[in-house]
Amino acid sequence: MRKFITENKKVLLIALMVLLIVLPKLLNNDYYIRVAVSVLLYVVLASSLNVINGYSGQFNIGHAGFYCVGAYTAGILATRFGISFWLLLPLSGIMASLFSCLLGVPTARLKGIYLAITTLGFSEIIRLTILNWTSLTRGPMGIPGIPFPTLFGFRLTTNTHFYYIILAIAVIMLFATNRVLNSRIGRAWIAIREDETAARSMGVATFKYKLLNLIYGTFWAGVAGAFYAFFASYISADSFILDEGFSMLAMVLVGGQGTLAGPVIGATFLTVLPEIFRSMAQFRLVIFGAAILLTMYIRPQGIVGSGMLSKKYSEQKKSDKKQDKTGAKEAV
Amino acid sequence: MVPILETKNVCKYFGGLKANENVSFQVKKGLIYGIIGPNGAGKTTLFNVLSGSYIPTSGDVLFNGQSIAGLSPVKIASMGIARTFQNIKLFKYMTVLDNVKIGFHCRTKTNFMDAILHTPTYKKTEEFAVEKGLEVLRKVGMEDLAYEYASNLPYGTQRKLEIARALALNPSLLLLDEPAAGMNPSETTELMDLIRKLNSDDLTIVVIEHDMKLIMNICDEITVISYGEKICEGSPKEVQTNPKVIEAYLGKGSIKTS
Repeated sequence: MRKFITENKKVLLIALMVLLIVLPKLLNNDYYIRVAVSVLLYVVLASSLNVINGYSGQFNIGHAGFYCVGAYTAGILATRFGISFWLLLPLSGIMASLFSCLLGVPTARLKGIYLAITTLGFSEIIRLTILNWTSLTRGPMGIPGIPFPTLFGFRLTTNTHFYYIILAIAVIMLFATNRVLNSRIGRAWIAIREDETAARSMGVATFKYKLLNLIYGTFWAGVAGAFYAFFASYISADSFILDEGFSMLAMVLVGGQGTLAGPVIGATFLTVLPEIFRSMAQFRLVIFGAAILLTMYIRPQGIVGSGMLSKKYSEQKKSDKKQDKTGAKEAV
Repeated sequence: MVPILETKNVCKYFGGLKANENVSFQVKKGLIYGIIGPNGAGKTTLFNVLSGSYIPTSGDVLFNGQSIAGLSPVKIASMGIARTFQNIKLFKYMTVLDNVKIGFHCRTKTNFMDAILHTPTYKKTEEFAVEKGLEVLRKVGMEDLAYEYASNLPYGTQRKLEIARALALNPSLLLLDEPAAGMNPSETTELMDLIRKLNSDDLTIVVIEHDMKLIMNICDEITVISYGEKICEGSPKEVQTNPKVIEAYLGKGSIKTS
């Protein structure tokens, strides 16, 4: 199947694009379209997290924090200063990137689980700050009444409108990311993931590129946050709890990290699945946990994970058994 | 003529452990220079100092007469010193060609906008990287493996790829840390030919190695290090007969030197 996909990549992509464009007509149900919007929102979030976790090997589990920064930047600026939605999209992204520098500069030397815990803490700090800084964020009351965006004087109010906006964002994001990953910058990120010492000795300024990687990944989380603020028209700190970050991480892991398609599939899967089992909503996180465990057990490289990664694990297992020596490879 | 590489009383201590103590030597341009010594003598530590991974506790390292001690590995790499590693440090889940392309990193400039919009700068650097990358691979005879993943290569070929990757930096000085470790005799012979060939292309090479056949055959000059200190220097012949060297390797009184 992989061969079929790579051989007919262009045709399949165009077919998928056409399908996505006519999807609202096909679904023709407000609830379904809303689910589709949230699928695409999570595609952007999971893909941006994947740029960080999957390509540069920095273990970020606090992605919700940056999503939150983006949403609040958009929420506050839109309600207080009436800044346009279209301007706020990149602005929120830049804001999230700035916050990622706050995290990235002091943690440049941290790796693996240590970095993971720091990002976790960072995400919580952001949420708690927002919850308590009442004068700026209205604290637990949240920010209601975020106005609908307008396009050439036309108010975008329906779910279908939002569907097309987020579809455009997702497409641009994946397109840009694909190109960045296939450039000198992306190669540097992967080299850092594979071996930081070797990367440095080959002239890759690892600190700079790790930071660039964080900035790039969190930029899209900020953009997604701004979209969410306008889509929901009400935001509160409750929407950005750690569970949000864990969901994104689950999507990346289940889909297959270090691949472009992985998080897309993962986000679709893990957004649609809980909707199907809506009657058991309280088990949502149980489903996520089970999904992660199952993938880790059956397919550690994720649903679409590359053959390379699967090899990595089987090889690692073998060498573990052989030499009783655990490599410093990060456990995913 | 200024030697291409010179160390002046380089010391590297880890707490109370003196890994390198007053190591001074000069490498003249165009030589193949060997560094040997028993296990744990501080050879790799010395390489780490030369390549910027470690900052020397005291002493100085001069590259073409210019002090490089304490500079970052990135800076040193861009100045033209490339290295390989004792335990292979390839980018395993990248293709052979991509491994080599990383070597062009500091010689090319592509920013996000170039990459996303595929500007002429991007196209030019990518073409440059592919073309030069294949050229480097041709040099070491690995051109047909360009699109193979590095982790799929046999051990000896992985070592060769490390050298190829280092060559991509277009260095004037190449540091090889045990390039023949784990190689079979025919691979070692092949490696010797490769090192000679690179050397004839006006590349100065410093090599750490335990394989005495390789060292004695290809090196113009050799330094022997034991317990962090230089104990002897000279041509392969001189080194082989030096009593201090024999003592370091075989122990005192265990063998009559005559």
